[in-house]
Amino acid sequence: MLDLNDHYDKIYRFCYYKLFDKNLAEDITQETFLKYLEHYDFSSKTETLKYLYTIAGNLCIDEFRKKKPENEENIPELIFEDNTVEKMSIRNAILRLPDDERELLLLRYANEVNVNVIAKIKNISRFSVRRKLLLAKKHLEEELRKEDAYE
Amino acid sequence: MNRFERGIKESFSVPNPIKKEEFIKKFPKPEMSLSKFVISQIPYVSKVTWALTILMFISVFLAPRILGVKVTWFISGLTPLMALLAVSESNRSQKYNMAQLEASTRFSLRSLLLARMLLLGIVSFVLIIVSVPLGTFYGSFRVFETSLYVITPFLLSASIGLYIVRSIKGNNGFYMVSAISLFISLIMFMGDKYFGFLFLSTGVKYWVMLFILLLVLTIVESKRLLNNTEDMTWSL
Repeated sequence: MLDLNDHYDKIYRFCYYKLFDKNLAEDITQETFLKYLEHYDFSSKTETLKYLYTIAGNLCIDEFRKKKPENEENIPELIFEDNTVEKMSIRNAILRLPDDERELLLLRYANEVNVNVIAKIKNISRFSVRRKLLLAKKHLEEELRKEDAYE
Repeated sequence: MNRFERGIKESFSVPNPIKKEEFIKKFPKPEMSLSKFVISQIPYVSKVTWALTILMFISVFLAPRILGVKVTWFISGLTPLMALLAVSESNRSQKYNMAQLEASTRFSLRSLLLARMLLLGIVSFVLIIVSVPLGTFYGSFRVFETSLYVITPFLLSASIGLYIVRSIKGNNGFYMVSAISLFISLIMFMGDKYFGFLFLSTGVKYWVMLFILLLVLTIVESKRLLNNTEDMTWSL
């Protein structure tokens, strides 16, 4: 059985780092669960995660198209109460990464989705997920070196 | 996860969601079918119980080769032990003082007990279904008599066991059930040597009466155990 409480937070985080709007992210999180419930049940954890992230991803894309941002290169500035220098520098570096790499890092490390499930969500092989993760981490390190605030 | 990966994890902070609690309260809980619910209980039945059950199945298949015609006594001695496993599993929550905690979980203790008893009941039924043809083929009795000699000790052990775990709480009840089941098993194992008079063809009608009586008793005791779950919970 799926832990709704835990997965609500994870899908919300996933949506938030795509839309950078907490209200919109929360609305889409709720819509994701409702859409999921219309078509599937919560019996298989792997399949459930795959469908939840896929639905959330598609809803975010729809929302992104509606918004049509004027400047796509614009990097949002996220300010939270728990900010430390180290966290802020990593977060800023993460925000400068391409969307795909940021999404992979979020799924694997923040949401702790296993590689097997990520492969299913992204419809690529596990080997490919591992390779892309390594590349994303390498790019993140490069970004951090540029900032010279980490290591 | 190394320091760098932990750093990544912690950096994906988000503002606290504000509508979460309300949504989760209203979110319809998905229904679970009976079969899925029963299957979901498989990992919660003790591993020792499963290991002993597998051992029993293996010994039922090996017994005819080793014991030949005496296989009926072996099988009928084995079924009370299967009943002991099912009864002790139904008593596990109470034995480890977990009944109160389990009663407060998503599924009531009563439905969990029912599911586990059903699960072990199905396994026992399969064991009996497998044992009867083997006992008939290799043993010296006909199908009807073999069925009686295999199922009746099971029902005797189950009905007495269920009565005891319902009325005597804690480990004492469990030890008493074990002793009685082992005693019934022993009588059946030694059936042909010392208790041959119990298995004469003239005694079959008494076995039939006993079978019916014990079947009714087992059903009644199972119902009582389930109905008394709440009382048991509050009188630990």
